[in-house]
Amino acid sequence: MDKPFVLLVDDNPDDVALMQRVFSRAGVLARDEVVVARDGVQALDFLFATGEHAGREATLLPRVVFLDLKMPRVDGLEVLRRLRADERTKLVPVVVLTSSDEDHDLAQSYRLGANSYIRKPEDSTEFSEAVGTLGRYWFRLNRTPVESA
Amino acid sequence: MTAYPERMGARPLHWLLSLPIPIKVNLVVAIFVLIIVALISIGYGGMELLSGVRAYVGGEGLWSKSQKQALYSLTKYARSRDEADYQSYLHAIAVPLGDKKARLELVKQDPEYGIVYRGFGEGRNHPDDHWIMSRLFKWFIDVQYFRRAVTIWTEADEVISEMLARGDELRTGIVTASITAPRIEQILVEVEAIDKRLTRLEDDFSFTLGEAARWAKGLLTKVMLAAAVAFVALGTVLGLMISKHLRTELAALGDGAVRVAAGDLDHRIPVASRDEVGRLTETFNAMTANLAASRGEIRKLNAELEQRVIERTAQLEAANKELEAFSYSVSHDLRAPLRGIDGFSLALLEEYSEKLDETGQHYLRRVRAGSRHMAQLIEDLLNLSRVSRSEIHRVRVDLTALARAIATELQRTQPDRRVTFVIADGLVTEADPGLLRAMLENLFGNSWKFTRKHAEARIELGASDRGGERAYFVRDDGAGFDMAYADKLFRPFQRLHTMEDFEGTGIGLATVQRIVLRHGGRVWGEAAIEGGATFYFVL
Repeated sequence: MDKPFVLLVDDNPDDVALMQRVFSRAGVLARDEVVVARDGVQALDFLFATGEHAGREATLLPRVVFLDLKMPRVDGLEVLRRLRADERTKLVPVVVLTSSDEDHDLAQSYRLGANSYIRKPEDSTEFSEAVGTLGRYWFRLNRTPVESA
Repeated sequence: MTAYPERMGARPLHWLLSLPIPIKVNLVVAIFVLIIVALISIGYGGMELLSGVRAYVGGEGLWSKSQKQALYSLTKYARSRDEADYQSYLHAIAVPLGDKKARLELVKQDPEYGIVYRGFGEGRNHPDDHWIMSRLFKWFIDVQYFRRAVTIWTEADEVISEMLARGDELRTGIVTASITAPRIEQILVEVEAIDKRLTRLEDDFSFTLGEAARWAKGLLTKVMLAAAVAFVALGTVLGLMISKHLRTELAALGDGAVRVAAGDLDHRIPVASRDEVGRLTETFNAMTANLAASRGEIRKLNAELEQRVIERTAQLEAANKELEAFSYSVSHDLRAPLRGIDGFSLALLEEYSEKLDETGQHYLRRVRAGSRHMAQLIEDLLNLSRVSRSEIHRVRVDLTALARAIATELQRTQPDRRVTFVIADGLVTEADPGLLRAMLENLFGNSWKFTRKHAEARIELGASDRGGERAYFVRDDGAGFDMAYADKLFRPFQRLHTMEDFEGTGIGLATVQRIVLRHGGRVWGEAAIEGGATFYFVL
């Protein structure tokens, strides 16, 4: 895999399915342009080419990471912390996409270097619009130094 | 009873210092009165003494004059042989004899003063002097000068006896005409000699009395000086002692009071005496001890209270943590399935609507409506829980500006509604701005909702004086409610309208009440069915 892609980190299969549906229906991202991690461990293994992803070309980084916060094993804030602590992944854009509107989560995400914080809308119509917009913006429009690497 | 340290115990004169203060002052006064009485007594005694000496000097004068008169009369009688001259002699010689009689009685162990006074009377001494002359004789006979004077007097009396013998011889000789002229001449020569001896004795007597008077004067002066010095010294020493003692006691009391006032409740003032100051000091010490005990009690209670506060705070923190964890999990875990339900319902409607008939599509829309209501409930519950947990930061809040902003926002959501907002100017209060906004949003939101069925509505924010308190109010002319259910208004999930009439979760007013309570205030509502509602709150 050497073409651009996004990393979607979310433990809720419904959310993953709904988001992928929106991406493909809106024509923003094809199925094979979305890499899914079911929790923090999988996400970190993928990013640093360890564990089940050992041997992956680690220099290939996603254009954006959509990151859920509350997940089993390693949570989203920890993933964010490790991402920002490593030279290789320091500049990868991270969009926190969560159901939480706790002040603590919001503040801590930005403190750890999140590029954006989006609360998943309850209403599915709004949710679809938001996800479509996010994909279009971060994958199509936004430019980062990471992809040149 | 409390034992006082440093009691200045058994000291000489302690009894004196223990006397009450008025008695101490009286004592000093008494000493000075005593000085005056003593000096007057000594002065009077001295005057009496000197008066006695003067009486003796006078007596001696009379004695000498009479003796000379006797000599003269006797000599004359020897020449004239006239009986009158002899009588004159007898008359004169009676004076020394009278004095002698008094002297002889006085030297007795227990003299009879009638005889003494009679003797002095015959000596032609003034009756007023008789008493002091007798006293002086008895009291001072052992004094050198007086003893010598009495010795001279005794000697003179013996010489007088010789003269008497010559007188008797002459008288007998003349009366019986048995005396010869040469014998008369010889007697006169002898009497002349006797007179010379007497003159010498009289001089000695006068001189000795003079000595005695000077001695008495010296003695009196010394006694008076000594007494004056002694009493004045005693009075001064006592006065100084008492005043120094009082000063020390009062200074100790003053210093002690200053220390106690500065908070040193363990300080005890030494009790130096049993007088008023001493008793005051003891009372002060007892008071200090009571204060110390009370302070100890208060500190103990405070410590217990603090401990209780620490425990309660810990419990509260634990409860808050639990609530926080609960809210966190609610906001993540309860919302996710709802998104699934709503999301897949939407997917069905969007992608499979041609395979569903109208009823099937209706059901799906009901599913979506249900999940949205559920999402709203979760949202409201989380808000309520956040209101309970968040810390209050009171600052100055412009209620008028806040209300106008909320009104504008409401108007924007439904631009075709005709609602008049009447918001009083200059409403400013001290409150947490975030919580106050949430509260006002709820109240205005309710008014906005419950006036929906009226073509024209009015929503008001103002302030009024309610029983001395400044109460703010939000008033509308909407559906109102039945006051019979007013007690249910602020309970979570309690609704006074059906979902068909007005949608809602029943958490809004519970949140309003929670916010007001967190500010230490009160909130209440007044309404009538279709008569509008007014909510008052005091912050």
